[in-house]
Amino acid sequence: MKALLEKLQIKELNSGACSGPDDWYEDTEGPELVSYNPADGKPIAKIIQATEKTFEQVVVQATEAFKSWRMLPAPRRGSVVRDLGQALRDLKEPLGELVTLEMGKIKVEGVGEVQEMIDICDFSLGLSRQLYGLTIQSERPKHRMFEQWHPLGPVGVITAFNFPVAVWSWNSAIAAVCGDTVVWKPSSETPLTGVAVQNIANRVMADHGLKGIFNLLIGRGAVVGEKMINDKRIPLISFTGSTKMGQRVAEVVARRFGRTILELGGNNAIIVVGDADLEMTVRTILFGAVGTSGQRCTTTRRIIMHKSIAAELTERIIKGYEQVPIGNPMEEEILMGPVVNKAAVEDMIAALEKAKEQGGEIIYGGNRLPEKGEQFVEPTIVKMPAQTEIVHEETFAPILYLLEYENIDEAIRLHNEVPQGLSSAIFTTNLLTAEKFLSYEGSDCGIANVNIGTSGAEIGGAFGGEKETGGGRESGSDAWKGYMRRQTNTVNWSKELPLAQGIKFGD
Amino acid sequence: MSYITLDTTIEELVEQFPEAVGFLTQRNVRCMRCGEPLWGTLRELFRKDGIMNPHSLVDALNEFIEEGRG
Repeated sequence: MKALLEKLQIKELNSGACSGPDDWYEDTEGPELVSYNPADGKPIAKIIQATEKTFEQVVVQATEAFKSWRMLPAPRRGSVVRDLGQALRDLKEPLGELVTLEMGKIKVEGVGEVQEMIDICDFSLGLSRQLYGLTIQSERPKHRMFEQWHPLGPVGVITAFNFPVAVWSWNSAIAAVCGDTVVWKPSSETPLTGVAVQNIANRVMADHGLKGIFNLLIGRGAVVGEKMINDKRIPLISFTGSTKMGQRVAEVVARRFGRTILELGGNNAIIVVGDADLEMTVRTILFGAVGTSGQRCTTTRRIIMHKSIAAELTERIIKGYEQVPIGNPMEEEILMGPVVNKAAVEDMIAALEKAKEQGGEIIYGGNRLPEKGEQFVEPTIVKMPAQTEIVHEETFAPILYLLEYENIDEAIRLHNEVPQGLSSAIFTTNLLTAEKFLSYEGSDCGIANVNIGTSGAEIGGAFGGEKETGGGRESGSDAWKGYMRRQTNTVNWSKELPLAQGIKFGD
Repeated sequence: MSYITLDTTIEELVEQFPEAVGFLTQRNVRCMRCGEPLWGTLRELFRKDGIMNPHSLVDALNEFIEEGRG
């Protein structure tokens, strides 16, 4: 472990506030935060958390840096992000291992997350030459109308533990080529990956003689988070986390007329039609429900299956669950590691109690696994008689609810009945059913798939969802527009002053 | 002995007394969402969740913690 931490320049005690290679800030009054390995409960390293004083130092730097960063041509900003991608390639394995060490996802997923960072850097490099605005036909003679996209300012990025590095990159690589600086508050569950990424970004900034483009603030939500969302110098807050926290963020930022990109809770379902390929379906369900120990925003939480195949599919899913090796996520054969903290175990057990009270039957799992460690649980399948209150809630744990339906309209109704709207999927070999699911009378989610699962999105598409998922979009497609301000321009190249709508004023 | 008060932040509560999460969830107070504690204090959370008797709930929580820790 020591060698891994050294490769990533993580010390026993680290500062939690930084604006660049020579700008690590420490306030001795900052409370210490210990980062624990969820697999064995042992401490990894410590952080001195940001305080009001260091928050101010970082935000001032980010605000100052924005003034010069926005003046660089976007393709030159792209070259900085290209080098960030290269630096991440060089440290892909150790950074991926640190993700695993600190939050407990299996190593291939940890390394895969870093690959996602590299991919978004590549995407952003191309994007840096494509921040296109429209030209618009003017109704007035000898007038030209067009729109431009300008940098916005320092962007506040608040991320969650489950994708401790990828979500930073979705926001930061795009924001950087758009000409914005970034102030990042990572989850307090994963502060060390924050320090490691900042070290990598620092090296890239140093190579280009920059500082203040990528900034870090590790601290409690009640202190650093609240200051960030209330700060008028930060015109955009991109928040990834729960619906309940997202409501708070949206209210506070809207009060000061700031902008938000919200990526909040999901309650993702797969509809399995009677004609589906069940082998593919089961493999997909296993990855979607058990992967990352059920702690992805896009985790498959509900299976809505046709009555005709319900018994067979249930049996096959249980067989699949029986073969999931659970244990130390650093070991190659393991497919499921621990959950992030002890409280997450308690949350899962409490949710299962509620499911039972509401008529649910636990048909697989449901137990803690103390022999493996305090934060290990069995992946759990609960057969529900109906879509009760607990099924409407997102419990961030490996709980899969099974529901049955008789006709496709009922399936879609059940699917859309929950308040969240992130990701969805249907398994069917019938083209008409698939198209119905993707249509305006089908899934109400931001992501809707056919014959692939709810999780494992690519960076090229816009990522986000509807309803209580918050409506924000990050990553690919035209999500970059959220990080810039649009300006509509009209140039009169005539010697007349015609008014729009044919209005005559004092002529 | 009172471990927890209405001014305890939820982040502190979850970090120091993870067993409180299950206790509160059973009483329809969710202090964890998406695997992370909410921001703010217990007082604010109870107000939002419409808890009519916050002082009694904190007392019961302290009793539960004390019993569990012997």
